[in-house]
Amino acid sequence: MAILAEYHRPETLAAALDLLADRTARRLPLAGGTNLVGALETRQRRDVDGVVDLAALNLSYLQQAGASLRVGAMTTLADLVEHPLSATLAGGILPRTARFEGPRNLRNAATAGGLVALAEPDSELFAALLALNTAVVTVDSDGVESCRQLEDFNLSLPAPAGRPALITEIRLPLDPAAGGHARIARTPMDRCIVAAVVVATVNGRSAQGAPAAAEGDYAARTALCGVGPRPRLAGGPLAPIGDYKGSAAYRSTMAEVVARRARAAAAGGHR
Amino acid sequence: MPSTISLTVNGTLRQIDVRPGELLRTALRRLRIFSVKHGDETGESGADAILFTRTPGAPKSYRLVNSGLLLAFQADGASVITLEGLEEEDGEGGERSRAGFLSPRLTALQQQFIDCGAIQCGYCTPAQILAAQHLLDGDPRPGEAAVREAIAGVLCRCTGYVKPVQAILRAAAQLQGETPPPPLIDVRDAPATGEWPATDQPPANGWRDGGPDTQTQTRSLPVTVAPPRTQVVNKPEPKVDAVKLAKGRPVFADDVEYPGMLYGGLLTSPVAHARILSIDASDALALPGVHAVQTYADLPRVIYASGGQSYPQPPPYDQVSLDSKVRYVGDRVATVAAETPELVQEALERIKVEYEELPAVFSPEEAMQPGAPVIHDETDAQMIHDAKGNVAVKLLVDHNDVDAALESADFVFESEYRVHQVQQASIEPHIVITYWDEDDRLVIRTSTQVPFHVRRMVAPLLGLPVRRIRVVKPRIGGGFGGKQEMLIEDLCAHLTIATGRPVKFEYTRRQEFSSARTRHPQRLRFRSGVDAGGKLVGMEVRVVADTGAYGTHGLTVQMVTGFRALSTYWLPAARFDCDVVYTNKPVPGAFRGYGAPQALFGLEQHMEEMALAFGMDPVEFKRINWVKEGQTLPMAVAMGEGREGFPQTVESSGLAECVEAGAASIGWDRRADAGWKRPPDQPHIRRGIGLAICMHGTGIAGLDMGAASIKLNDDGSFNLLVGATDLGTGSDTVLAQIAAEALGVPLEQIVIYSSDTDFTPFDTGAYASSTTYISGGAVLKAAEDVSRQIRRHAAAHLFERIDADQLWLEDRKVLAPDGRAVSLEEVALHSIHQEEQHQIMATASHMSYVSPPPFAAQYAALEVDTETGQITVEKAVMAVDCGIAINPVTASGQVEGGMTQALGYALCEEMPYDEKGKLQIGRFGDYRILAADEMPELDTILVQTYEPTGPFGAKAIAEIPIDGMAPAVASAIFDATGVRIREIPFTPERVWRALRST
Repeated sequence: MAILAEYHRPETLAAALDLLADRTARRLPLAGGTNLVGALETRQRRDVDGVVDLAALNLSYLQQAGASLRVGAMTTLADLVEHPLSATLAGGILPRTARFEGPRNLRNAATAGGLVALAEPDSELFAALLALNTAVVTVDSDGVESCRQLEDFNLSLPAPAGRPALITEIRLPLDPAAGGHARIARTPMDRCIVAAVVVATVNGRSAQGAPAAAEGDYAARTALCGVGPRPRLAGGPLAPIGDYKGSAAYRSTMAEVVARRARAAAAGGHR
Repeated sequence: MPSTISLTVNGTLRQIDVRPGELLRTALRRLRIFSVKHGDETGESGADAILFTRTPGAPKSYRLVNSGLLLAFQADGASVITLEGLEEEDGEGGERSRAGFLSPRLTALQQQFIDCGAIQCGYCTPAQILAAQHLLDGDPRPGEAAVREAIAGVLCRCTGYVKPVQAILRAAAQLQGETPPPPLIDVRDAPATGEWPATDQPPANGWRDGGPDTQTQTRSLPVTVAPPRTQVVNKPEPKVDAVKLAKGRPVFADDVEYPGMLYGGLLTSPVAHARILSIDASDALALPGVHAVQTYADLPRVIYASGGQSYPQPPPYDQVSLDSKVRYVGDRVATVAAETPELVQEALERIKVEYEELPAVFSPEEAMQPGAPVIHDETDAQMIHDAKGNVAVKLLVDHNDVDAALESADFVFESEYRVHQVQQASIEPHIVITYWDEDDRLVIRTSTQVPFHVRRMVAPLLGLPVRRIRVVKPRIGGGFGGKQEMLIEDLCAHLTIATGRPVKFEYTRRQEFSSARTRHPQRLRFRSGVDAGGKLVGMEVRVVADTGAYGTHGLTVQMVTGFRALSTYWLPAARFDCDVVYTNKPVPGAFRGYGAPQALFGLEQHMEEMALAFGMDPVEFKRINWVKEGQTLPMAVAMGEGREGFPQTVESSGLAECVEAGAASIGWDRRADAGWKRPPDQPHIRRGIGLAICMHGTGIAGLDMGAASIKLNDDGSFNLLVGATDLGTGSDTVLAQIAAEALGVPLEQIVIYSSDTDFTPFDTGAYASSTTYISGGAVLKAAEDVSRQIRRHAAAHLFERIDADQLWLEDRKVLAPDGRAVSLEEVALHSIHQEEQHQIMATASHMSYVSPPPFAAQYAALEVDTETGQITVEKAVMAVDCGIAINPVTASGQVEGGMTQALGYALCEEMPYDEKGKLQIGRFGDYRILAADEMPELDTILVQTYEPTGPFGAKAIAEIPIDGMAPAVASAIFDATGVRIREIPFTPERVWRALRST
C-alpha cells in the first residue's frame, strides 16, 4: 500500500521545482505513474512522504522545430510513437520498439520523461532514442535549462546540492535514417533479455535500400539493452548483469548477435 | 488527511474523499464500481483498466489506463468510463439472448463474449471488454492483430485468448451490420468407439458404476456429434453466469462492503530459516486505527495440514496458524487488522521481529544430506516420514517384480529429467472476508475451490464447532488448484474473532508468488525395458520431489506423478520410488494437472528417447504400448490418492483418433520437408514438430463425492443447489445442462446456485477433474428422482389411467404416448397447492470407484533460433477424448486455456531464487504469463467417445490440457535440432547452451 502524506499538483515548473527542493518533506516527481505508483504500492519505495504531480505543467506536446522534434516530458509513449513525425523516424523504429515497453494501457500513461528518467536496462524504446541521437532538456530549481545528449544524461547521479532538476523535453533529430532492431526474449512480447537498435545513414541518406553498402560505409549508432544497468551505445567493454533471464556471459555473447542483426536490418537485410 | 476530489464516473460527477496514497482503483470500488478489479499492484494484470481522460469535453481523448497505477488525486477533475458505463448500442434493452437469458442492455461485445464462450472465471472480462470497446470506437473493422494488441494489457489465465479474440472480431462484424455465423467448435467422433444408448427414450441412468452395463447397448454406427435425443447436453449453451460476468456485476469475494469492516494483512518472513526470538508489536498497536496484531503467542497451537482434501487429511501434519519458527522467505510471521489498507501496511512495517537465523537448504539433494539443517524439528508435528532427514513422505510402490522384468528385457534404457516450480497465478488473488452473523456464527466468504473442506479444516484451528461456521463461495477469479487449500481463511477468521469486526484479508501479487502455493519441482529418473518386439516389459520411476517448507499435497501430488508415469503405457511390472523432501522454499501444492505434467514431461521424452535408441519410430513405439480399451490399470490399485486405490479398466479411448486428428492439424508431414525445417533464407533457423500423448483421470476413485439438490418451483422451473465450485471452468453451466436434459426443460429453467455450506449439499470441491463426472453424476441422479416424482404425481392426479413409467418429460411438459400433456407448471402448482400437497425435490449423492481416463495428443510446431536459443512456437494443437462433451464450448475453452498455461510452463514461467532463498520475481511481468499478442495459433479438436460410467458419456477435460505441451515442445526442439533438453523451461539461454554443448 502506498503510504503518502502529501499530493501536490503544481501549475508551474517553478512551483514544482520549489516543492522538490523543499527538504522538509521527501517528495518525488510523479509523471505517468506507471513505475512510481507501483513502486509505492509494493513498498519498493518507502522513503517518500509525498509526490509532485507534473500533469498540470503543460509538458505534453510534440512540436517540430526545424530539423528536430520537440517532445514534452509528459507526452505519453503512445502519443510519442503515434505522432506522424516520430512514427516514421528510422523506418518506424519508435513504434516498433515501444510495443516492448508494455501493452497499450501502460503506454497510454507512461511518459517520455519517465522513460528517460528511469533508463531501465531492458528498455528498447530508450535504446531507440539513444540510437536516434536524442537530446534531453532539463530545468533546475534555479531556472537553468540544460540540454544534454541522452547518452550523457543520467538522472540517477546525484543532483547538484539543493538544485533538483526536472526533465522538461526531449529532442529528436529528424534526419533521414534507416532503423534496425533485433532482440532476444523468453516470449515474443516479453521485455528483452538483450536487444539492439541501429539507426544508420549513408552519406546523409537513409541506409535503407542500400544493402550493397558494406559495414562501415555508413554512419550507424547502435544502442544495446540488457548489457548493463541502463541501455547504452555500442562500443567499449560491456558489463552485463546476469539474472534468471540470462547470465552475464550469455548477454555478452548475444549482444554481438543482436547488434549484427540490427545492423543488417537497418541495411535492408533480413532481421 | 483525506481531501475531496471531483471525478466524473460514467457521466456522473462524483465527489469523493480520498487519502493521498489512495489509488483510483480503490476509490472507484468505494463508489461501488466493482468491475474494476485488483489483479496486482504494478498494472501488468490489467484487471483494473478503465477509460480515462483529463479533458472530458473531448470524447476521443479517453485512453485505456490502469486505475491501480493512478493515485485517486491524479483523477481530480478527470472523467472515467468503466464497464458499468457502457451502453447498449445495437438493440433494445431487456432483449432475450439466443438461449433466452434475460440480458438487459447488453452491448454487442458483451453478447459476443457470452455467445463465443469468451468468459471463463470472468475476473478479467470487464477490462477485456472495455479494452475491446475502446478499440472498436476507433477502428470499427480491426484485424486480428489489432484485436490482440488491444487486449494484450489485460492478462487472462483461463481462456488462451482464442474466444475473446473471436468475440471481438464477431462484435465488430455485427456492429457493421453483418451476421456472423455461429462460432465453430471442432468436434469429431472416434469411430467405433463408445456406445450411445440405443433405446428410444432418454437414458434413465446415464452412467454405470463400474459394474456390468445394463443401461446401454452396443451400436454398430459411430456416435454422432449430438446424441439424437439430447436437447441441452452436448450443445454449446451459453454459460449460465455469463451475463453477470459480462456486465461486471459484483459477484466476487471482494465485491461486497460490510459496515465497520477492517482490513487484514500479513507480515512475512524475510529470511529462509529462523527461530523467532521476539516480536514487539507495541509500535504497531500504538497507531490509531490498528485494532489487532497477532503473532504465534496470540493463537492456539493446533497442528494441521493445509491441503483442501477429504477427511482424513493426507499426512504430514506440519503446520500451525502462526509459529515461532519460519521456514522460508514468505512464511507467516504476524497479522494485523486496521481501518485502512495504508494503516495495515504501516503497522506491519512497525512490527519488530528478532530472528535467530538458521542454516537453510534450497534443494532436495542438499536437504537429504546427512547433517543438513532439520526444517521440521518441532516436537508436535505428526506423520512426517523422516523429520530429521527432511523427508516428508516416502512412497515405494511395486507392481510385480520390476527387477526381474528389466533383467529379462531385450533392451533397457535409462534417462533423467527435471521439472521446475511454477505458480498458478490466477488473476484474482486469494481473498477472504470473515464476520460474525446475527447468530454469532462465523461467516467466511472466500475465493476457494473447496468450501466444505475449508469449513471442516478451519474449525479446530479457530476452536469453533463446524456448526458455527458458514463458508460462502462466491464467484472465483481463477484457481487452477491454488485455491484447493485452506490458505488464509484461518488468519482472517482469527482477526475477526479478536476484533469482533468484519475483516477483509487479501494477498498482494508478491505474496501470491511467495506465500501461496506452486507446482512441485521434481527430478525424475526412468528405467525401462522392452522386448524384441518393442513391447514394454517393465518401468521403474524414481522421483525426488521438493515440497518446500510444508508437506501439504506432497503425498498426493507425487502419487499422481507415479500413477501417470506408470499407467499411460501398459506395463507388466512397475515400480514407483519417491522421496518428497522439505526445503526452505515457498510451498508447492495443488496446481492443475497435479503431478501429471511433471510425470509426462519425463515419460514422453523417455519413451521417445528409448524408441530412437532401440531403433523404432517413436510414435509407433508409443502406439503399441499405450494403454487401450479393455486393459486394466494395475497401478490404480496400489496407488489411490493417499490411500489404496481401486481396480480400473479403460472403458473408452479415442487416443488413436486424437493422434491422427492432431497430426493432420499440425502438419506432421512437414517433419520430412527439408525446405520447411531449414528455411534457406534464414540459416540460423531450424523448425520442428513434436508430439506428446496424455492420459489423465476423472475424479479420485472411491474418494470424491458430490451431492446435489433439485427442487421444483411453482412455474415449473427448478432450483439446483450444488456444493461443487465453478472456478471459471463452466461447471455450473454443465451441471445445469445435465439437470435440464434429464428434466426435459431448456437450460434457463434451471436456477443453479453454488455454493454455501449452509444451503448447498456437500461436494469435495473443484479439483481432480471431478466436477462433471462426480458432481454431474449427483445432479443426474437427483434430476431422475425429481423426474420420477413429477411423473408419479402427474400420473396419479393429472392423467387418467396411465402408469408413471409410461410418461416422460420433454419441452417443459409431462408427455404421454397417446399425445396427452400437462405442463410442469401445472404439476408444480397442483403438487404444491392443490392435492396431496408436497414439495417435489430430491437430493442425491454420487461417487465412483472408477476414474475413467481422458486421452489426448498434444502437438507443437516451432522454430529454434540456433544462434540465440530462442524458441518461437508457431502452432499448438490438442486433440482430446473427453468422452461426450456436455458443452463443447466450455470444453474447448478448457483446452485452450490449459494449453496456454502449459506453454508458459514449457517456455517462460519460473520461480528463480537468490542464494538466500528469496524469490527474484514478484510481479506478473517478471514471471511472464503469455499475453494475447504473443500467442501461437491454437487448435482444439474434441474427439468424442462415449464413456459408459460418466453422465451422458462424459469424462474429464479440465486438467489434461496442461499435461503434454512441455514434452511436445521438447520433442519439437529435438526434431528441429537433434538436441534433447531434459529440463524446463526452455529459456533462450538454456536452449543455446544445450545447442552449444553438442
